[in-house]
Amino acid sequence: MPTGEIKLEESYSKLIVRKVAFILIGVGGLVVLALLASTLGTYNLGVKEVAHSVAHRVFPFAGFQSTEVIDTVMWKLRLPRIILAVLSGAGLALAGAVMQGAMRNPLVSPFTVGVSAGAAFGASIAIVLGVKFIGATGTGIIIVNAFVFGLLTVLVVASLSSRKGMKPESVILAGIATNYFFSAATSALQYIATDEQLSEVVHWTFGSLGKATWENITIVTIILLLSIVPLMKYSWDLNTMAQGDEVATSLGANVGRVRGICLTLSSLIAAVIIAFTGIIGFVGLVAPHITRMLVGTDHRFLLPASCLTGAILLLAADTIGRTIVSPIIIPVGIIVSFVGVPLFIYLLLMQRRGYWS
Amino acid sequence: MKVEVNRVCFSYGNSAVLNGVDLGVECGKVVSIVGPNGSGKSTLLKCMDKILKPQKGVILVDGKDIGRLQQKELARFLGYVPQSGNSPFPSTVFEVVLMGRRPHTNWSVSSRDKEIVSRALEEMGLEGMALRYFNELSGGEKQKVLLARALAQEPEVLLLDEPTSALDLRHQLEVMNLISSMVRKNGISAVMAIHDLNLASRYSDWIILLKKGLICAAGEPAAVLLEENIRNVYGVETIINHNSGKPHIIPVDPC
Amino acid sequence: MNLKKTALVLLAVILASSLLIAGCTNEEKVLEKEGEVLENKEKTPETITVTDQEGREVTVPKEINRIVALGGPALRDVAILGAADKLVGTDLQSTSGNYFCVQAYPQIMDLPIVGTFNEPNIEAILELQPDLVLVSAAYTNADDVQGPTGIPTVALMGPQCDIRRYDDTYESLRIAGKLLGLEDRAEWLITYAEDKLNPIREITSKIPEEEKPKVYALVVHGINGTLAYAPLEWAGGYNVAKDFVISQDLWSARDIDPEKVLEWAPDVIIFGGSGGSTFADVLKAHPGLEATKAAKEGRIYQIFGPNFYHDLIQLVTETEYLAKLLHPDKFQDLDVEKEGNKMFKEVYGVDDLYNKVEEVRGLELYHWD
Repeated sequence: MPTGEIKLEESYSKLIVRKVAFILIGVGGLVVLALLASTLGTYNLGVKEVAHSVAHRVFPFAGFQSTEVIDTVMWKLRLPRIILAVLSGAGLALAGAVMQGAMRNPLVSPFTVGVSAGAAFGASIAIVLGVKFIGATGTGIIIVNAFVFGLLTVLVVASLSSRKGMKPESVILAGIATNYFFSAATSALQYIATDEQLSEVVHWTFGSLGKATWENITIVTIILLLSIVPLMKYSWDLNTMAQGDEVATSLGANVGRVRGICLTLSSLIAAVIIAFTGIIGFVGLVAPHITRMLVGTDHRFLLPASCLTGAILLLAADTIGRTIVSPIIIPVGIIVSFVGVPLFIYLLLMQRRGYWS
Repeated sequence: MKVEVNRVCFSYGNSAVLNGVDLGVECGKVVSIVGPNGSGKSTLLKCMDKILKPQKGVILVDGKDIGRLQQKELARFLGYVPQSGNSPFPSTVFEVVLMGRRPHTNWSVSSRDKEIVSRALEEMGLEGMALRYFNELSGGEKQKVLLARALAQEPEVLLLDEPTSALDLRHQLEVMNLISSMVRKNGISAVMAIHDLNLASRYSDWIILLKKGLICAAGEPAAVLLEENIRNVYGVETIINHNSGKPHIIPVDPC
Repeated sequence: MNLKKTALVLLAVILASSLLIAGCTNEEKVLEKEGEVLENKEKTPETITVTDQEGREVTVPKEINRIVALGGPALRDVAILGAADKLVGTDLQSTSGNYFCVQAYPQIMDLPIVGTFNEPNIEAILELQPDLVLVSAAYTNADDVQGPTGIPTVALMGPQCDIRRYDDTYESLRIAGKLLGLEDRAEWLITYAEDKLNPIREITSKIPEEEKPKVYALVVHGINGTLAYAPLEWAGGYNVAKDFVISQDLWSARDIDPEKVLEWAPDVIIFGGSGGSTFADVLKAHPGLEATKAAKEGRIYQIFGPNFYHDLIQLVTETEYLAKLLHPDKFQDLDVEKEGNKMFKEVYGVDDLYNKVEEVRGLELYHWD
């Protein structure tokens, strides 16, 4: 074998090793951040108290002591919040990366097909008109409404664009129309709302992790796990689809089916997250781009790495948001852009000229 | 017959593009499809790779009906080279060529896959740019990368859609020479939709002349590239020169 | 190409002309109405001048027969003064049956609508030809109405439940009373409220701070925060967020970190607002609360609540309610429900208004029987 060839394969392998290394570092970073976040908060807890509180539930027979209040702070407030931040960040970033790959468009996000507009509408009709689904009670009312209407928009977009063969342009256009429609409907509801209802609707749209409970976390986890496996399997197809539908078909991809399933799953993930957190923007759109600049465009690495980027971003943002002007919590939807944009701009400036061509 | 196209008809909505085309591609041969704009050259290629589904007719590949084959199976047999390849996301050259291994893999990339990609890049003379971004390359270099990708598929037939339209004189000849040598060395066949009649004449074993979705003439270059045929199909007066052994078309005037 | 261009130009011309025509007719209408209003004024030359709660000086006719009230606060003043029959229009949200004054004067629900609580519809107001427009200072600028309509518009604050602004409540009543020739009634109401509040305040002011139960005032819907709630202060409760609220002016929607609530360790939690939530819902919506002393002892109580729905007499009865909840030993003989209904009867002339509104809003207030 000529030496030139070996060098080539080696260079590529080295590149792969770098990507894997990035991912491992990312995992490590996320763990460290999570540990740090668990010690930070309004209620003053030392590292020892935090550790004991965690240990005495995880290792009940090892004799660790903790008080009820500390346990409540850790197990009812901080840990669920941290976990929801990680799951939401990962989910939104994954959904965004998948959407961008499936639509072959760097400007789409999980909200492009209208999931956020639909969810906001669902929340609004619950708050302003009291319209709810049978069996839903209390906080569940808004959650179920937001989820159902979020998914409804996907159905609308999917049925509209499947007549046009699921071409990216038709999906995006249908999404724009749906977005405007539901936004207008939500605005109409806001117009007739009372002062209190209005502030509740607006507050909901800010995006916050205040509703983190173990129940909610379980639901999000299940949906994420169910979706992540089929999406990762489409990594190669997403790679080839970047070169065009025709090329992708010629390389063996069933483009229409891949696009449809990617759309559905990423919207499902987005809808379930929005239902619990309200609207958190930025992560779905920009986290995949940040990730691309670090590990490249091969979806086999881009998808898992995007999850990490999104998780780290959202966890960092929420931790800052709940400590910086404690005891006021600045909604994470507001903070995450302030945290993420400087990073994004920095990476943009560091890119080589030929990057965007 | 590596590929057989039998009475294929294709329409986009109400406009008919192919009106019953028959075509046969033999082993180790270069077949050119020529004809004016809108005659159906690209469409025919896309039907052959199951990118478009013809309303009528059957296409056989190694004797098998492609309508019954999975896209992935077909991709191990037919390598499609598009006219251009721009992606909104920056990929390296190596990654682009690596996509050619997709029909053979589900997830992981084996060392054999990497070997094949390296070899394809070397054959195209692209080793130096393996880790550069695809979007940074010149038109000629990009075309070679797309060719390398099709090669990496280890196909038995190459389908090339206007491989030289966007290239300068030198790159046109380089690319055509590469295609010829691939056909000769690896024993694969090539079907090209091509504009340039002289390139078709010089490099093809067989030429199909399309007019409005029907085959006007088919045969060796000297048999097809005749002044009456060109007048009939293109509406152009030409002088055909046989000095180099193959027909060389010198355009004179539209009729 | 030419055909397209012509069609576009034609379309633009049609649009422009229709806008012009619409504008012209509007102006005409406004001029017409202004003429009529001027006429009315000329017929009744007697006027009075008041300073409203935006600090503006407004001259209004002495005889007021047609009133438009915009925003709950302004509406409440009119109703409690007994002038609800003079209302000819109000805003969309104020026709809600959740208000005490609307339950007392149900005809309010059928009044013509002249806009939303913070956005008045000038044309609709003009059409009703009121003698006076009352706006709620918190939501609308009076000049935004008086300017285009030429109708005297007065800005009122209405009942204020924030203890730092409570005095505005009486000021607002006095201004409204002067406008409507009901100054005596206004003074009577103020005295009535003070007579009911004073005995309670007298008792609770003698309680040392350390003995006051720590109370977290949680408004469930929309605002996950807390307030400087006047009835809570008067009832002898220690608002755990007091220092924070006073220094940070936490009136608009903010999130209070639930960890902070645990740190405050309240003895009692009161929640209110739009109503319709059960205790279980509250606990579910606010993870972490269940570890407070208040939750564990079952001392979570719903209140009529502040914000959109409060009313002067509601503030009084709420004070009695909280006083008895927080200091049961000192208010043993106080029958909150009976007193509540009695007060509403004396002020609005309607029976069982306390129970009625509780029911309409789906509240689960604490009952001592």
